[in-house]
Amino acid sequence: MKKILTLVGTLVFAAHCTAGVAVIVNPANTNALDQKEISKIFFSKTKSFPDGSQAVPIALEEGSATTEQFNSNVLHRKAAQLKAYWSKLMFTGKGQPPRAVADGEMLELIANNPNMIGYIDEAKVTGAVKVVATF
Amino acid sequence: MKKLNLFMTTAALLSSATTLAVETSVSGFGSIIGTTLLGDEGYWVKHPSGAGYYGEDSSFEIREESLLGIQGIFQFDDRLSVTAQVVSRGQDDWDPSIEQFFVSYDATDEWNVKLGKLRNPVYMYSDSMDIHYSFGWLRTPGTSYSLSANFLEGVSAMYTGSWGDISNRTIVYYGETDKSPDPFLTELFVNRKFKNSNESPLTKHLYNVKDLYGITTEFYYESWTAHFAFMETGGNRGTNLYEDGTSKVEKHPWRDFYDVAVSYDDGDWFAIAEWNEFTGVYSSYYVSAGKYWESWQFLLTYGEFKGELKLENGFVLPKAANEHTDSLALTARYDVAPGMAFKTELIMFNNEGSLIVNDVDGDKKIESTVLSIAFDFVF
Repeated sequence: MKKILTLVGTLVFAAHCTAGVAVIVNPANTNALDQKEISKIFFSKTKSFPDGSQAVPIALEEGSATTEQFNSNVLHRKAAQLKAYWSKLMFTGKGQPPRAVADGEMLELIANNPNMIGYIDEAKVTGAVKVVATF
Repeated sequence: MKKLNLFMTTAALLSSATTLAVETSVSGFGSIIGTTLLGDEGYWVKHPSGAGYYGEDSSFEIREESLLGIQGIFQFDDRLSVTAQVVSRGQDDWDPSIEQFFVSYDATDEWNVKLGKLRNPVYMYSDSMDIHYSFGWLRTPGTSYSLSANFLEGVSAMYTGSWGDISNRTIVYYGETDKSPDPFLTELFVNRKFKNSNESPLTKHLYNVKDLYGITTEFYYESWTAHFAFMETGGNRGTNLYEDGTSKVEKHPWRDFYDVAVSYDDGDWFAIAEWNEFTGVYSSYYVSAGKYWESWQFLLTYGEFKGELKLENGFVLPKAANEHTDSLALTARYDVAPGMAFKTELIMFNNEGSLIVNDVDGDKKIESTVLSIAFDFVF
């Protein structure tokens, strides 16, 4: 019995760890976004969605598992590489890294702002936001 | 101690501003760089403002290139902000100086306008070359990053946009820079360390270039970046004749600067090639390639500098006119944590015709091996 419980626990833990990252926008946002487009927005290489409306990226806090997953799967960068990238922009007046928030605030911000785009653990997505891609 | 107090007071003022209604953020950067000569006569990085000279008497020099910077951004609303950046450099006896101070306004989502003291974005890394943490090298390649026009007092407009998969950031600027000596030639006009200053006519004639304008544009496509820059300088030149104590204002000869760079960075591999020319003064290039591996990055860099100075008024600097430098550098970077990195760099430096480094053995060549270690950080 003990072995079965351990196995179940391991499987549950593994399932949790492999949950994807959902890139979320406001339900009113009708843009189709792929990895390249999302990456451009989060690298501040564009400040607009494909339809021309303003795009404001929001990140989860640095060091969170979901952020690391997003950085790796979408931006293809490690945390230190992103820190270096943003330090080049922020000390030269060219840009600021995305505002970093906690899970709850992320959902609230995206649900209430048509111009914002963020990401969250796939398991935490609610009906108040729209998933445009999963990684 | 007074300098330290001034610097700390400035930092405290920036920090205490967080209590004001405006949204304020304080961040900073710094590098502690130590360098020693492993062999031969000396090394000259050629960086702007004269940083990076290591003579035969240098043992393990930390002061020359180390620096600390603090930046405060005062955000008044979503579009309007003021940025102030104070930098304290070892080479300046740690005297803090305001290196950036500008008001920034986002006119639209695509257009941003700045007014004040700005960094001049002529090279791919020229406006961020003090942020050593932001690049893999221990220092930006010394053979190329020698143009000392790294500050601009004026106005700039920045466009950010994209067309399909291609993004673009373009900066146009106009302003002046009037520091003496001539801000455009680090090695030739720098106000220190001439081997024999009495031989240089330039110690009697210092220049204040008043007008400069240019455009820098970068295109981004997936892991690729293409960088193009053009700058023109001219207008009036104030010449102080120290021989007889008089001064006069005359037309400055127009000079053009071009820079082209292409880089690739996919998070696993990094490569860049950059070429530039300051017409009638010098041309230079470097190529660099490397690999990220876990928390490490390794880079191999080769660069050349060719001086071709042509001066008016009969000034003759035959050595500078024929100066040639090449350097081969091997760099290793280790990221301790996001915001902190150790680096080490080994450089094989060859030079002929330097006005700065002494040719001790008289063979008309400088052939030096230089080792540097550094700790870079941002916060």
